[in-house]
Amino acid sequence: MGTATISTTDVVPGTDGEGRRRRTAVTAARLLGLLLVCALLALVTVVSVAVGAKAIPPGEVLRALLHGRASVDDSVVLDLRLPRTLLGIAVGAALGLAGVLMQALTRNPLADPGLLGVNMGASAAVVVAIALWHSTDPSFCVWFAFAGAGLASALVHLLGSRGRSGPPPVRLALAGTAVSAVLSALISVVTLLRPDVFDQFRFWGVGSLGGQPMSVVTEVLPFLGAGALLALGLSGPLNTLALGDDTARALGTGVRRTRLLGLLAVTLLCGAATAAVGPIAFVGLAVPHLARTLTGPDHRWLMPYAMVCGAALLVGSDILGRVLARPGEIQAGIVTAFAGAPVFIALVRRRRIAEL
Amino acid sequence: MNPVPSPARPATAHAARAVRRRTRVLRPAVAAAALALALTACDSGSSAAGGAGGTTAATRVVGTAHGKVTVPAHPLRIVSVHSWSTESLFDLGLTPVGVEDSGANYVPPRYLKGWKAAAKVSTGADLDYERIAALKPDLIVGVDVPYLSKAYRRLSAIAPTAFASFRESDSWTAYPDATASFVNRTAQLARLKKKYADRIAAVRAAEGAKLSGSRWDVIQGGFDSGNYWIYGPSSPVGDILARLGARFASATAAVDKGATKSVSYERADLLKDADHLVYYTNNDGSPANDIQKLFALRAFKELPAARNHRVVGTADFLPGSYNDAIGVVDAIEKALKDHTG
Repeated sequence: MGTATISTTDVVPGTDGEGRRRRTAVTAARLLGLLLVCALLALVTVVSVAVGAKAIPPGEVLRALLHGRASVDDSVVLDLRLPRTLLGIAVGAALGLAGVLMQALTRNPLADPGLLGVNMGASAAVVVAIALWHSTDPSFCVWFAFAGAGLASALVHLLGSRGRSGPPPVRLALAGTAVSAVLSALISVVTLLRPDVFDQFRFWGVGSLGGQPMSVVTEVLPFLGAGALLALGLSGPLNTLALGDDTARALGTGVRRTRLLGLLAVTLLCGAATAAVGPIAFVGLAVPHLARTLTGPDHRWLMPYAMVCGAALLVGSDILGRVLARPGEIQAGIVTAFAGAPVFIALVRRRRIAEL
Repeated sequence: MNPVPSPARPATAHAARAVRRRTRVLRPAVAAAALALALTACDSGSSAAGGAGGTTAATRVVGTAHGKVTVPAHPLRIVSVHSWSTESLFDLGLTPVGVEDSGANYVPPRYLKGWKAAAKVSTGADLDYERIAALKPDLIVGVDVPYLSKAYRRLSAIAPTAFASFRESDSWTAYPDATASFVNRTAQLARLKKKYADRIAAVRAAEGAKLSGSRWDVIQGGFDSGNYWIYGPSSPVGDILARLGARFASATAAVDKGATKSVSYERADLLKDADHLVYYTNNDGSPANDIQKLFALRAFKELPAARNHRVVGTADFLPGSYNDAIGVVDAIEKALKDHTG
């Protein structure tokens, strides 16, 4: 992989001294912005643990966190709210990051993690698991979903790859669409002809953070972590890739290798995220655009911003779902679609979608 | 090594590449289709059970959700497109030639053999009209739920179609009563009603004090992940409990007629004043609709009903027939006997 880390936004005209001062100011502003979105995420996290369908005094919540399960309320905090909050942070960050990667790899501002068939691969694998083993246990399904995501991703890559630059963006997107369509048909056929499978699959079909045990968090975290590290390591090459394959190559970036590693990162991130909570819409599409309005197209900043914004959006959506439908809950996957769509439309109307 | 050219293969390299490319693209689709077929085959094994052929000339007129319908006086080839009608038909001593498929796990054990033998003509809202027509039914019965109501016109073009009116607030007894009327089996219905009433009276006589001295909530796993559902006093199990003289705990008592309440797992505490909980199981006794996730929580395990092992499962949670309702009574009676004192 090349080591060039040129940024399209860091090229500031003017004298050397002036340029350096401008760059320092921009960096400081971005750092401050990142701290602010981190503070927002921290606030959302606190609210997520403190607020839910059941009213529990803040002192009781704190006591549960500090001293463990002494009462039923403590177990509500530790067994229900804490896992869903941690899962929301991890999955939201993963989907935001995967969205950035997808849009960069395909050079398509409308790309989201679903475009590569990763989500559909995970869903199809869960359907197969339910059909053969009749289990929707998250700890069981997570491995199938992950394997399905990996296989779908590999298949898309095989179908879309040609030439020494790795899979070109358009062919990759087309292959992803085709594989998604086939997998979607597979899901439809199985769930239509096997009502028992449909019956079980519907619990997983709408993305939800609720009712997931802490074991799911620990199972997917290594994959999410590996995917995030891999993705963050590609921020420099992705910046050069945005200038076009030839320019990227001239600047020393391994184009094919970057795309392959990018695909691997997307598979790890989306496969594990979808496996853990089911399909979540809009985070992977809208969050990169939201983050881009704050950072510009520099992936070195865009990626961390997208991770934090994605986590805040998903956890915030989950809180909304818990508060709006008391004493019941609306699944986070539904809320993100409802809340994400207007945000995305507003972004599109306010300003031109940023060039990738 | 290059493939040996053959007359059956494309003559040019370009064409050969095109075919190879097409094959590569099609391969996943073919594999997916094969996998789908393999998976769907896993649970098949049902075969159409033909009733006695021919129809009778005599007819009668019955009141249905779609007005007056002329039906055979003694229908012989009945297709049922709703589980409640199916269960009622079996209860009335009739064997439908075609039935709906809502999942074998939901079919009460007493009807499972007959249900498996019948041809499957629908999956939820997807009706196989060709298959229904091929069965040459002389009567189609069902319940006028929204998705079937839309199908009424097409079904009635195949055979006389009698749907029971559907309202969320209706008692479960409305559906077996209507089905018996459609198939002219009111005498058999009367016998079933008496059997049910006698069973209720017997359990009331034996366990009346326990029933009136304990509070009951009725729940099942929610289809909306992270929630469970609380059923009200007018629900099928609620209605049966009321006939038995049981009292309702606050959660079930608070549910409006014809409604169910979707509640977060966080609110397991809503069930804290219940001495007994009744929940839905599959026909193998396993918890239905993921309610085991609620059972696994400490907030549930700490409930008095759970601590005292008074959580009662029944596969007849949504009865479509009087024998289903008797199944609920049996489950309640067993739970009371198991926990004397």
